[in-house]
Amino acid sequence: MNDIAGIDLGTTNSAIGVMDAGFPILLADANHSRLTPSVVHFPEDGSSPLVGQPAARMRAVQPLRTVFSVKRLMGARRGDAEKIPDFPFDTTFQPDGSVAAQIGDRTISPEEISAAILHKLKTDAEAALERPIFRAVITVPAYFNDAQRAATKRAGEIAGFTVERILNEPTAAALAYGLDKLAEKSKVAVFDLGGGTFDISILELNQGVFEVLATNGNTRLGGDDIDAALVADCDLPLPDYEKRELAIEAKHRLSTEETVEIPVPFSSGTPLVYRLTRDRLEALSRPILEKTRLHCVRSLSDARLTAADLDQVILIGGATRMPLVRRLVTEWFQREPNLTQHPDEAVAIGATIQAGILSGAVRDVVLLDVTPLSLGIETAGGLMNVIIPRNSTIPIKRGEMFTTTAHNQTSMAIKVLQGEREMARDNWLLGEFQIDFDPAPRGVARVGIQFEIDANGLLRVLARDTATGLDRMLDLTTAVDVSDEQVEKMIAESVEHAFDDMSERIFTEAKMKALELIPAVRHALENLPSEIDESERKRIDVLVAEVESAISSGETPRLKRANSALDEGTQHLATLLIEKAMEEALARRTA
Amino acid sequence: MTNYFEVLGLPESLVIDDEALKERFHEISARVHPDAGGEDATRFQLANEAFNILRQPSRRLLHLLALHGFSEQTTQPPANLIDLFFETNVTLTSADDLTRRFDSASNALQKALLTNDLMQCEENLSRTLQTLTLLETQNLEKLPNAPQDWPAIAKIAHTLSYLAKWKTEIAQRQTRLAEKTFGAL
Repeated sequence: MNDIAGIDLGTTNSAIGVMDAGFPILLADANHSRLTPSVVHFPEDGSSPLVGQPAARMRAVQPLRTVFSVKRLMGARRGDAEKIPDFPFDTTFQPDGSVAAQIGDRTISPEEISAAILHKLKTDAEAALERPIFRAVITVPAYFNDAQRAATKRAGEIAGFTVERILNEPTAAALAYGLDKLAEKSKVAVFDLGGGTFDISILELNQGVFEVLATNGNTRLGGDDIDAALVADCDLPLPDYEKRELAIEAKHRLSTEETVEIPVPFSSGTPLVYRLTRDRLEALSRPILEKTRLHCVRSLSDARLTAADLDQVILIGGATRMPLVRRLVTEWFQREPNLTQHPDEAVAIGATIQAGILSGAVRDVVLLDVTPLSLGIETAGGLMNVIIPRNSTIPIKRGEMFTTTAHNQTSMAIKVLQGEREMARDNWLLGEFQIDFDPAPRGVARVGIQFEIDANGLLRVLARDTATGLDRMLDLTTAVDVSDEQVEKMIAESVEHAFDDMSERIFTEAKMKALELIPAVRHALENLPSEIDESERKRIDVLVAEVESAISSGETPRLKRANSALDEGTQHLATLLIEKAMEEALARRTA
Repeated sequence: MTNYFEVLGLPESLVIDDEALKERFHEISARVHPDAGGEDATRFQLANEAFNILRQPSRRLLHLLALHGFSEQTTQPPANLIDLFFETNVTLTSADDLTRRFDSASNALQKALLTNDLMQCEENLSRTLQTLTLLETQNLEKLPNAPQDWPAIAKIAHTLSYLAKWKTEIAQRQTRLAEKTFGAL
């Protein structure tokens, strides 16, 4: 059979579908569930891993041997260490610098763990269809970079699939939304907030052509961050992994309830109860959710549209069930969001439709997707020279010629970068290679570099020496390790941080912060003579006095405490200042 | 050299209707995209490139000029734009200074104190953008009646590419400032 499966490989849940008589359907496992938790448990006895629901049940029982949210580790390397979330299981680095899970004495790569999930989906789907499946379309967050896409493709291959396409999740959701509206012409935004990643994509739908105009996002922002904030906020005497289970249940229930009380299972002695109100949940989630706004602003700006130009704002991803998300989206886009798509299933449905496009089961539909990040190379002075700008339609091919800058130069080093920052070092280094040629006067030797991004969003680089006409394909799939020297430096720094509070440096930093903060407070108070009442002014004066006396005491912890008390105590002041400035701006505009 | 008008099956022209161009690109994509029966990506990549060049007026004009053997050498901003060049630069630089000040502020209160500056800077950027857009429109309006006088068209193309470049830079600063404003809320 010529089936191609469509797979949503999610941070929290995964799903698989196929085209059936012209319609995309999702396939259920033996327990009639269409969603498989993206959790893998590695039993102590070394027997084969448990995947899905049985593994999810082991999370609170054997947290060290149960891997979840592995998607957050895909394509991550040593240099990203600070961005790697705090998991209950151990993580480690492999010799090539990539991150892996450490389960007992086994080191398991994120690709292998993802492959276990994909393999389970494959087996379940084959059981449901009663025939084997060899080919698949697998989705990724639109904002995944080249390394993360390549890692996902490898995971599919380890699981025994020929990966026919790596597809962006919001684009998939747009296909699910638009398949029955092919005759229409419209502009839509897909707001996709999942367990671990956030994407916003703006599309134009026109007679079966789905053209992505712009995409933006954050591959480390999602419901998991809300869970972490809830765990940090919970003061019950429980280990974090038990708090997490309670927090997740409470968070889910608070989408429809106002208050929840969950008795803690197996608690001995005084029975413990976890209480959470929707207000508290929203207060903790708001700063996390506000972070999505700038991505919305950027994507609209890149698409050269305003919110008013959109016909629909489609919500998908489990976290968009939160009432606060819906309120924020309504406010930012000035319209009620479109809730017609199933938050957990739309992506898998869309992947299945794309599989149908590739197999020929779906006709008259074509997707024009974009590359989320700019691609370029490092030039003199450590700058990033963009060759393919972000949001360029793919597949795309672009070349550039380079000449030597010195006499008798015999080679040229080329660093391939991905990202939006001006300085090369702030962007993601995809690969580095050297091109050799015969010595020649300056400017004579010329090398053409060709960048090609295929429909998967994966990059291929070709170098051609124009003198010899020799082409070289450059391999970018290997992760680049940071040098040993850098590692030693990082280790040295982390040792230094262990003695933070004893060091002179930390006190100096705290003092600098205080010396910046105090004049800012004075200035703010002068700016708002009438808006601040006497009692608030007095309270702030007390906080300032404490910072001043903490400085003369020379006690680091005391100064740090005083600083944060003043920071917190002047939050209202900051809000008033912002409101005042905005009102004045509005007055200027209407004048 | 490749004629991008031919690639999209359009007559060579100084002026193209944006919507019609997009429709044509979608029509061709639906035929030649590798997923839609095109064998490999080559034909689509070419159409993609043609669409990218023709949709931007300055690049479209420069392409047309190149097709007719007329290549533009000068890199200086056009003389009649010098004042605007300085005005734009001042606006951009002050936006960059403000961004730096905002980023180096170590507490929320210092950032809040900069809100007023952020608002005023955004107003300056919008004003400059309006001026640039107006000038762009005026230059585009000259095109339909322009004679086949290549040096005159080259001059317009030159002006348009500067205006487009500055507009992009202004828009980039606007996004950056908007991010700061939302971050402060």
